[in-house]
Amino acid sequence: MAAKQIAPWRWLVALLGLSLGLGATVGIYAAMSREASVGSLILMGLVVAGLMAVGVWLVAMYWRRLDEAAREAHKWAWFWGGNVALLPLIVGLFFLLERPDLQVPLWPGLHAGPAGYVATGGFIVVFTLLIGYSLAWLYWWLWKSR
Amino acid sequence: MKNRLKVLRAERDWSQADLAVALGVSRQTVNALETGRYDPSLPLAFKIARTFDLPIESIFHDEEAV
Repeated sequence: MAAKQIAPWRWLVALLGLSLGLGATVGIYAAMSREASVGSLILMGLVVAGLMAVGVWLVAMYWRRLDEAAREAHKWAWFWGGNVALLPLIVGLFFLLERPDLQVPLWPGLHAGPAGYVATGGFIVVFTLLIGYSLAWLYWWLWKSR
Repeated sequence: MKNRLKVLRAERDWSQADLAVALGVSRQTVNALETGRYDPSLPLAFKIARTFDLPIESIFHDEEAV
């Protein structure tokens, strides 16, 4: 079957599978090697980079199979969902700047320390943007095409 | 922008799925077009006109036109 004939959702399912595989690979590696050598770290980095390249290819295939209204839904969601989701993040940022002594809970599973707090911030940003994007996409797609 | 897609489709006894296949878009997109919630790009508008063998202006009506 030619790539162009494959339904868009199948590319997304493949991407989801790849993401789960990527997460499992990194998780197993992290659990097995508490004190990893530089060589194994480089190898792991190459594997992750390769899997990410496959992920970008899957997204490109998904995008090519979308019609223009479906693409418009993603563009709209990116602009409105992303920008509106930034608002609570900015409020939170200013709040933290005003209260530097505040005890902030860590993301589950992370260890206290600079890396843990940076990762916690990263998780919060990614998930907030993802929620905003998803809600905006659902609103556009369900309202426009119902 | 208003359009006569639903009427034209009904005249030919086509389902939304039939029209979607003819246009190479999803059925949801055809629905969005018919309800006027989404305006097509110029290439898609031309494709719609070719599918119905009609000029674009007899399918789409600019509500702002005097």
